[in-house]
Amino acid sequence: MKLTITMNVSVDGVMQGLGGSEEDRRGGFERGGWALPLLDTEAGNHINEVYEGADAFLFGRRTYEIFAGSWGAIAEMRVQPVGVALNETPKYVASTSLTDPQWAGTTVLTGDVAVAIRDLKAQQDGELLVPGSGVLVRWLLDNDLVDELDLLTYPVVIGQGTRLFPDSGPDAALDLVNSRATSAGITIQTYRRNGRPQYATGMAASEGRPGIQEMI
Amino acid sequence: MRDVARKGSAIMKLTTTTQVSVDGVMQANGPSKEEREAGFERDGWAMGHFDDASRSFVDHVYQRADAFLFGRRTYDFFARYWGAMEPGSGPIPDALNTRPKYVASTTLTEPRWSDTTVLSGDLAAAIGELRAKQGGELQVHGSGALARWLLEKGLVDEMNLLVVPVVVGQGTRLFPHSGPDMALDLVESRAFPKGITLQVYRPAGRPQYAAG
Repeated sequence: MKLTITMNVSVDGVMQGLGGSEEDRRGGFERGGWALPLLDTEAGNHINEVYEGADAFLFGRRTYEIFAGSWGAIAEMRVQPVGVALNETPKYVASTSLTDPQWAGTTVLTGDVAVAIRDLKAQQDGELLVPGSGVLVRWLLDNDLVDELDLLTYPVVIGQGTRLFPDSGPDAALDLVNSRATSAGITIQTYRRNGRPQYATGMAASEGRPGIQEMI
Repeated sequence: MRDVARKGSAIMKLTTTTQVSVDGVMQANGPSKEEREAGFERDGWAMGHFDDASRSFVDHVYQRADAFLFGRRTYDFFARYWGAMEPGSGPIPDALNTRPKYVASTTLTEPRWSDTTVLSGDLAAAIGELRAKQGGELQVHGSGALARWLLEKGLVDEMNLLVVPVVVGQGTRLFPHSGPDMALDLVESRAFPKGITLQVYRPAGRPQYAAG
């Protein structure tokens, strides 16, 4: 299985509290609800397509519980394309505390999660989609388990909150697979992992070029 | 067209052009011995990703500039590198070497690059005066500390973000962890063949937040 993460971020890379002001106030976050006013039909359609294309879902515990309580529980949400995809597709949740998941079709991954995910990827075909799940996604990136990144960037600078990419983490080269913009100014980029980056450091020593913005 | 705009009463537009990685890092996009000595290990992350189309875009940005504004560090690098080039060396050095340059610095007193004015003291006021004198475009390239300060002060009219398809995983980012929030209008978005994307944004006031 190909592991794809789908993530909504601001131009400054923040992923926290996109849906509403009370969704996630951890760390004193006061600017929740930044994505919803900007979500247009094109971005909504893209999200529907991404969810419909999933063969299984993988969540962190927190996102799982939010999704179970909304997409899994509220009748009008269950019949929307995202709700249908989530309810009819196998779900995995990485959690050391969850024992009795209430959402039908859920398997809890405990113990060595890296091994469990590698097994899952090896045993099945198709796409394992990780929606949101910030803590898990950072861990997946750290452990080199991500194959593809579907990134929706909203035209806003938040100026606080947790970011998708940590200040200190592994480096990665990416291939841009797809790029487009919606009428509300959301850009949608799909990137595929392509090993380690190549650095032009060697060139500096030999040619004495300064390392500067716009040195191309 | 530019000459007409210059003579009008228009305020000079301030644009920033920044190369960032997918994780928002702007430090040491090019190879830098100095940055490496300061502890940054992944310098030179951008260079292999440029192609003819993205280079040509950057050339055109420089060519349309009416003046340049730098932070002190970027100014020093540019003066040493681009400033040493002969006329006809290329669109970037030709633009830089023939247009007025301003550098925001409290320490620099005798700039060696011709046609440079040092802006010291009240920087916001100095930039305001500069922009009121003529129309056209005042460009900021790189200059991380200055670009962040200009954004914070609401002095940026347009932002060119060239997003390089790489996660750097360390280094200074364009946007600070703690800063003002702002709504943006996306003016242009395109992808270049080797995977760099360009986003042009205009600041558009405060963002809207959904309740609940």
